[in-house]
Amino acid sequence: MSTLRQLTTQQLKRIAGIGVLACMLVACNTHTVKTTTYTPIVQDSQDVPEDYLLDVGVAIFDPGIDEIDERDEETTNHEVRVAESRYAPFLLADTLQRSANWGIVRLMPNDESPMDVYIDGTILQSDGETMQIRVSVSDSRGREWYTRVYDEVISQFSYEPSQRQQADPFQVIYNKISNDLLEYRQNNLSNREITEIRTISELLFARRFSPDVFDSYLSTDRQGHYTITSLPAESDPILQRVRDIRERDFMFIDTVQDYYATYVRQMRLPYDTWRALSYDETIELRELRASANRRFVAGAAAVLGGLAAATSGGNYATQAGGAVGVGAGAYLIKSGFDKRAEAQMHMEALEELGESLENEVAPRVFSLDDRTITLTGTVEEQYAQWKEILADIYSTEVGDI
Amino acid sequence: MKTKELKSFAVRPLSRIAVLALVSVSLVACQSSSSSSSSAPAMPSSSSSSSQSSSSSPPSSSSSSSSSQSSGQNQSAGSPIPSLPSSQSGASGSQSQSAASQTAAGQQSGQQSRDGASPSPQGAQQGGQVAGTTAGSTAAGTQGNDPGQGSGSQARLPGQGSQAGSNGRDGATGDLGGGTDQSSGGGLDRSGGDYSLDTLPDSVFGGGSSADGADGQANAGTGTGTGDGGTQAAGAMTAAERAEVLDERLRRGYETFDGFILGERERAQAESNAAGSSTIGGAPGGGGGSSSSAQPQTIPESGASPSAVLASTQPQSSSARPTETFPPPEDIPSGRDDDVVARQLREAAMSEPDPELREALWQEYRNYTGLGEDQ
Repeated sequence: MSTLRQLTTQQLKRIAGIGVLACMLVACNTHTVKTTTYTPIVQDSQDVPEDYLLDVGVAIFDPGIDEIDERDEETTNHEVRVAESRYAPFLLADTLQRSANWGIVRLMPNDESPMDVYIDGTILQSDGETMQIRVSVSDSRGREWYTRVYDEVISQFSYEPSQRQQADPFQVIYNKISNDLLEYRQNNLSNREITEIRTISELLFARRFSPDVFDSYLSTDRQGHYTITSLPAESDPILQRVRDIRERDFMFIDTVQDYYATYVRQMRLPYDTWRALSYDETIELRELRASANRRFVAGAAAVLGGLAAATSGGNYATQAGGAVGVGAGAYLIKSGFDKRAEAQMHMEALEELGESLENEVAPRVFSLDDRTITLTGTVEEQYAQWKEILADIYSTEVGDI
Repeated sequence: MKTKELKSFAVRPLSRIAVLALVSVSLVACQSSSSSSSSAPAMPSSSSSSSQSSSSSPPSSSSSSSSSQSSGQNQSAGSPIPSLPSSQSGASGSQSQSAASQTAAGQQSGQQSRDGASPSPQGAQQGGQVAGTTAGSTAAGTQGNDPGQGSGSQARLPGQGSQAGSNGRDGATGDLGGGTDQSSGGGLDRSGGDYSLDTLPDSVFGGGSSADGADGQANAGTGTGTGDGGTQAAGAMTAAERAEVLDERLRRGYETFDGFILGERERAQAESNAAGSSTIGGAPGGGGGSSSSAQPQTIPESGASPSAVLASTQPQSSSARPTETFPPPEDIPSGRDDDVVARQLREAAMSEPDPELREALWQEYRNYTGLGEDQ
């Protein structure tokens, strides 16, 4: 009799333990830490002479479509991601320019124009609540500075109009990139290296237009890093001509900046709306998914515990408790399915939001790319003529004709 | 018979010699004429400028510079300057002037700030004006030299050389005709933009490369010499002179490019400003969607957006519409009792600028209102 009592007590404890565990699982919430602290742009405390300011070229970001998780695949609109890949780098370039730590900072239409520092980026996640960007930085010598992943989870506060008027909701991420870039330059580059980088980028541009003349000034080591072997004279007329052309290349890039500025202005309103709505839907979706998963686990545990109690129970009370546990577990599982169905509705809402924004921005992306390609083609045609003329001038001066 | 045969045998060599001499003379003449005809298309500048204009569709600023050049040429052609000394000295003088002006233009364009600020359009226009004045002086110089050398062959006429140059130059602007048939026909066709030093004979170099006038002077110089002078003078062109000619082409390419880019930038900035104003007017109003938390944010801005959008669009629509109205004919009554259709017909007729269409609309109005039947 006492053994039976002990068994019954143990089983009751188990059932109670399983019940408590299930309740804990259901009650357990995942907490997302959101930072509301604003990271400002750090400006170089030293007044850097213009000769030591590096020009920065920000490339169009990789939309990161290949790296989208299967789980996010349904809620990520590819066209929206492509639109973001032109929007985000413009904001980054703008942030870097405003930091006053660099020379000219431009969003580059292509990789033809050598710049002192290059920034490449890949958008890993962007749903209105979280933005994750992988950034790689290198310089004209071919040396890679670093590759880092920037992740920012913002709060609803960032979408308030007062905040939105001041900056982009994810401005912090651009500020952090800017600050890291400054920190790297301060800690790793001497003035001599900065001069070298600037000279190499100029020689690379000169080599693009007059390879006969400027090929010999640069050499490449095994790792693909450029080094200067000799320097042209400052009064070299070909170098002067190349500098004139480079000024025009900057003009061309500036013109493209105007295209991008127009695009960003046009995209901002629908994109912000999308992000604000996507923010809420994403949070809802995530919570529903988590809740559904918890209910599945707890329900399964309750069913298993109840089955164990019901089958191995020595008395009626234990068997009855087990049956109740099975019923409760089944109910939890059913509510998990309900939550999943609810989550599916939010997923569809997100898809619709993405399609709506796609309809808004896809033509603009197309127009932007079309204009950029057209202008680039026209400019390249002119450049080709200048290359020929420079080659002829060189031949004439060398006396090769 | 024998004497006749002998005579005929004696005459044949003579006739052969004569034929050979004729052939040689014609060959020489052909050579000189071919050199002149090749100097006409020789305007590599014109070829390049035409190809540039066709490829890059130069905007208003570049076309303004080219028009200023053509106007300079027209002025000089209208009032030839007789006071130019010998053609060669005149040529060298004007070449140095053009070189000076080119360097000035180059400095203007080269003085852009490091942050990519574009050169001022005024600078580009000044460059175009300078080029235009040099072109004008050149044409005048060649015309002044022309009378003194009038006895030369066609190929050696400096006037033709200069006209060929101006033709090639004006092929880009499309302003001047008036060159010789040879030069105008061959020049533009051959100068189709395929630029390379290999394709340009030396004699062409002097004439063709300087659309701003140096070419005409080089040809003027050849005109003063003998029949072989054309090739001799052009062949004597030094490497520095060739480099200068190529530099000139480069600089004119800069001008075209600057004009094109400036025009493009103006357009892009205007679009950017328009997009900015519309964005400000229509600030995030769409936030008033499903989320209740987002609604308070959007109320003030969405409330402000319609008026702002209206404010920005109303003037455009009003300015876009033609405001001119035309009074109705005398037989048309006041229209106080018109129905909607008749009123629309009346308004359409009163705002129609084309008289024929207007009359047709009035006739339609008459038919609709029964005025035609009454009459």
